[in-house]
Amino acid sequence: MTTHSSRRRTGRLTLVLVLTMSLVLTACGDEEYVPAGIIRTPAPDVSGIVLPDVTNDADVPAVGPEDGLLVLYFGYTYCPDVCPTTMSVLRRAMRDLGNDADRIDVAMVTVDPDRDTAEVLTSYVHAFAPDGFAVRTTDLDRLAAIAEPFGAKYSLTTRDDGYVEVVHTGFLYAIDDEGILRITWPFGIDSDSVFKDMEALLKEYDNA
Amino acid sequence: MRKTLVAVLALALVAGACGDDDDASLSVSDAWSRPATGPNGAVYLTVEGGDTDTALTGVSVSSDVAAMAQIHQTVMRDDGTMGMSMLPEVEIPAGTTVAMVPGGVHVMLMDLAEPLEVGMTVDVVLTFDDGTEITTTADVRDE
Repeated sequence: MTTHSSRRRTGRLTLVLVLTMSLVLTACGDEEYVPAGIIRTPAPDVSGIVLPDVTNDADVPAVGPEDGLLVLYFGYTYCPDVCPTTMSVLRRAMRDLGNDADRIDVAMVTVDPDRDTAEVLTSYVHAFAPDGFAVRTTDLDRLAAIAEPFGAKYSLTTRDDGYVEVVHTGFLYAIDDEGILRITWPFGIDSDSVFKDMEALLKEYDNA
Repeated sequence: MRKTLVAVLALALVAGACGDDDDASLSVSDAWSRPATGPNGAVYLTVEGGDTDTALTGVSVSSDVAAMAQIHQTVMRDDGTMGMSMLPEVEIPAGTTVAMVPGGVHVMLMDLAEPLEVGMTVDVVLTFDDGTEITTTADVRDE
């Protein structure tokens, strides 16, 4: 009886030790990365969304390139403050990635397709991401269907004086190569946080 | 009579000096803009308040730069959307620094005459409620 009980104790002790060791190893070695962006649970699968890219006149799936990410933004070219601020943050983060920036695709969806012609939208997007996709559809139901899975919101109101007031959510969305929305960055995030989050996501592919 | 004249002159000098001080301490600095390829642009800047409360009541740029300039404020609404509204004025309380930064209050340049490119400068005239005008030069830079 006594022997049996002490064996059980030894067994438990070993289990506790092993668990502790693995915890220590986890803590000392591959520290779990805490992203600065927002992680949604469960992570939405957006692979079924098709983005009409007017730059190349092609439909692009909302899926990152192999071992890379697609970073998506909903904005409009008349936007002088929020959109350039966010797209500049993304551009700087990609500069910091160096060669790995080639693994990031960028797409901007206009929420103001009537005023944002294909030409205007393309030059706006390319000012921040030279190979970026300019996504535009005048089919407002289709636009809503693209925005909905991300939770992106927008509305346009034309005032009496003709001024078009646009409101929109200002998030950046990072989608992996399986079309899973991995991370969402809010407006105001700094480029270093976006860089580190992108770097961590790219490392996941490298370690896989 | 002479004494009175001297006293009056002295007072006038003091009053004049104080007035000059007020004007001198209200200042604008750090004006900049991002490059802009779209129809609109934004200028950010810092206003240092003077000895008395004032308010920024107007902004303007040459028509060579943009058709119109307005003071705008970016605001986030309850549903998480962000939009801009025009501000009739920005209060500049005495002795305070009001920084107009991305995501907040900015000078909106509407209908740009040409894209703003890195290295360019934009002169912005700011008018305050006492009629004071300050012209500041914004650098266009990547930030």
